[in-house]
Amino acid sequence: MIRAQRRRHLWWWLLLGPLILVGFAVGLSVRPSASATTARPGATPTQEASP
Amino acid sequence: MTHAYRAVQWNKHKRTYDALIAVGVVLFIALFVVVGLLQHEGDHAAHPVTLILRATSTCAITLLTIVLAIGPLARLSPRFNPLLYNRRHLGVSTFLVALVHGGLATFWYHGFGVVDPVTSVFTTNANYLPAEGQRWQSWLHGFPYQPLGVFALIILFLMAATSHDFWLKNLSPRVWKNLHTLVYLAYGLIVMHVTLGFLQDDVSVVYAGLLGGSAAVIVVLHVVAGVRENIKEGQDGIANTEWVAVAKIDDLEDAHGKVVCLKNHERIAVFRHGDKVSAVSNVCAHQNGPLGEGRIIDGCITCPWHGYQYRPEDGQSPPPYTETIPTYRVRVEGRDILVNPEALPPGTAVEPALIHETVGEAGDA
Repeated sequence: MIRAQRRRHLWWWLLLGPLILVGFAVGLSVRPSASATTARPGATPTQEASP
Repeated sequence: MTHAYRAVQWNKHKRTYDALIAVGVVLFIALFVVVGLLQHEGDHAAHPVTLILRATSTCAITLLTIVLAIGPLARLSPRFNPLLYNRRHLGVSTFLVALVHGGLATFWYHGFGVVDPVTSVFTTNANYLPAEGQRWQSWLHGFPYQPLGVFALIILFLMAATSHDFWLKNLSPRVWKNLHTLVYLAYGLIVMHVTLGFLQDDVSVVYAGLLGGSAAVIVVLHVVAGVRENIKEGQDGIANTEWVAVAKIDDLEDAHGKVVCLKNHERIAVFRHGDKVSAVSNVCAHQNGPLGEGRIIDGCITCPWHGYQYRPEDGQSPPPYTETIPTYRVRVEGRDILVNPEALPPGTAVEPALIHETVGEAGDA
């Protein structure tokens, strides 16, 4: 059971690990460039998005 | 241990540990806010609430990163085992700090409208799917990232609420372990919550570098620890015969153990205690800790993770505790220690092999 659990644990990370890193990289890649950023100074994105 | 339900069994170490966590968290947040206030003044000044939100999120992610790093580090080197002892306290602290962040963000950004604040978190930005003709980059840039944080917070809550051994016992170790594996999913959600939220408008490389770097370290640590154990099991797997020579007497230090890998079998922990040798499962009944890396204290094999104890001769926890682990028949021939790889039912008494004994079996149940 523990051997299976160890293997399951490894599969989790072999699957989820690249997904997290690729998601992070793709998320960063869609950021607008610094010059195009329209957020007001000091504001968080949440403030921009909030009503 | 699980004799009966009790609140957390506080002792001096736990109090000191928790006090250090509390002081560390408060100092971290206070320093973050003060430095933030001093760094940006005038038109560029950030609102104190914004700074507290950033401080609590940074603190929670730092705590979670530490929590996630401890497991693989302990598997890579027993030196890190002591860090496992109170890991769940760090986990509960992570949830509490994340709760402050989530609660404050919900109140601050959604608490003043006509819509219920929690509903507002999910409906203010409903850009869950790309609009017709919308480029995927633009869709992802405006993705509703706040619900990702809410889902992660729910998982952290479930874990914190069930962190007590009471739940481990009642849910069964298997269900409990699977439930707590969800922390990996929570971590992924949090990384995307920050990437699609804060990092979309933060153009500095500091936060992106810290988050990406720490995520890479966590992923690599887990994969390396898992692959290493897989390889170890393959390489160390000793062929199965009725009796297997697993170690030399001289390899075993008194009151210490050795972990043995047998092909297609669970790992076995062989312990020397005085002039006797016993073998038990390497897997602690509490949270699957590696018993063979522990020591014999007060006549009991003591798990290096949380201190659960078992008598080497029958794999039973000393009364009033009721945990049991499988035992193995063992004998000594010359200077060789031989183990029968068939596990006996948990708690089965097995006569320890005597070291001066040179011939014959000394371990039938």
